[in-house]
Amino acid sequence: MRRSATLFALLTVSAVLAFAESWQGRLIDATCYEQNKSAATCDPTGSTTVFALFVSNKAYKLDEAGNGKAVEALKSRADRSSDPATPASSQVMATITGTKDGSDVLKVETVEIK
Amino acid sequence: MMDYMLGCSPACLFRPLPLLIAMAAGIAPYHCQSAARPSQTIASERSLLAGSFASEKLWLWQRRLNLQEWNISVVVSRASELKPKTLGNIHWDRDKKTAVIRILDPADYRLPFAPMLRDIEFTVVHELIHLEIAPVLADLQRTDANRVEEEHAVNHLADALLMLDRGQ
Repeated sequence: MRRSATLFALLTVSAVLAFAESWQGRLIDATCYEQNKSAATCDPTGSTTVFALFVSNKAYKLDEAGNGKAVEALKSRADRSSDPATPASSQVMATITGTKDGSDVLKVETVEIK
Repeated sequence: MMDYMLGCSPACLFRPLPLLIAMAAGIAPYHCQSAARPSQTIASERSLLAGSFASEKLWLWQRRLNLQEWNISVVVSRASELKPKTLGNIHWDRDKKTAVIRILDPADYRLPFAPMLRDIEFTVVHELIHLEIAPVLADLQRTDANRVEEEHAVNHLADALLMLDRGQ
């Protein structure tokens, strides 16, 4: 019984790992993107709660868990700017792992911000 | 042994750590500094040296700032791996109490060797101060303006601590 449970857990983990993909792109404010239909001025801010990853001219919305992870990742970082009078670029590059849910939503496992 | 030590007096050759510390503090004897020829050291050695120097400083400042309960590591990163116009960064996980400090690779520095090491130490202290004050700022709505204020404050604190440490 215990051996079967272990085997089942291993198979589940393997299946998840087998299907997990990774995307690299620009993290943007999804609400802003929907309004403007352009990612140019949609860098995330401190008040962004809904995110998308902009990859090869296509925006992939993050699922709810992904949005939470993106908020936390943005709050848990700081840069040392070479010119302290100007803030570091607001553009945020990110690597996201997870699976695609439909054609334009990412079911997020991890969010790693550059 | 690293190229930067070649040509030094025998005393230098047998005491690499004090030499490194002395170079970092900018107090190495002139003949040792001139013989060091850091430009001739290969990039990977300089990266390794910067990484171990930063780790040593991290160990020291982590204790001074009472951040021992954090598991913090240092990663030497090329400029392309950092945000433009930045010299380093820190990412932390508050729940796991882990953090990674990225320092700029010596290959991307435009400073002589000893000032570069001093700047790397500044980055370590700067990022640790960000970590120290993170709980205070956690609920603050972040804007470009308050980020600039934070950056100035962190720089002033890091400057003051390092000046005290260096007896300036």
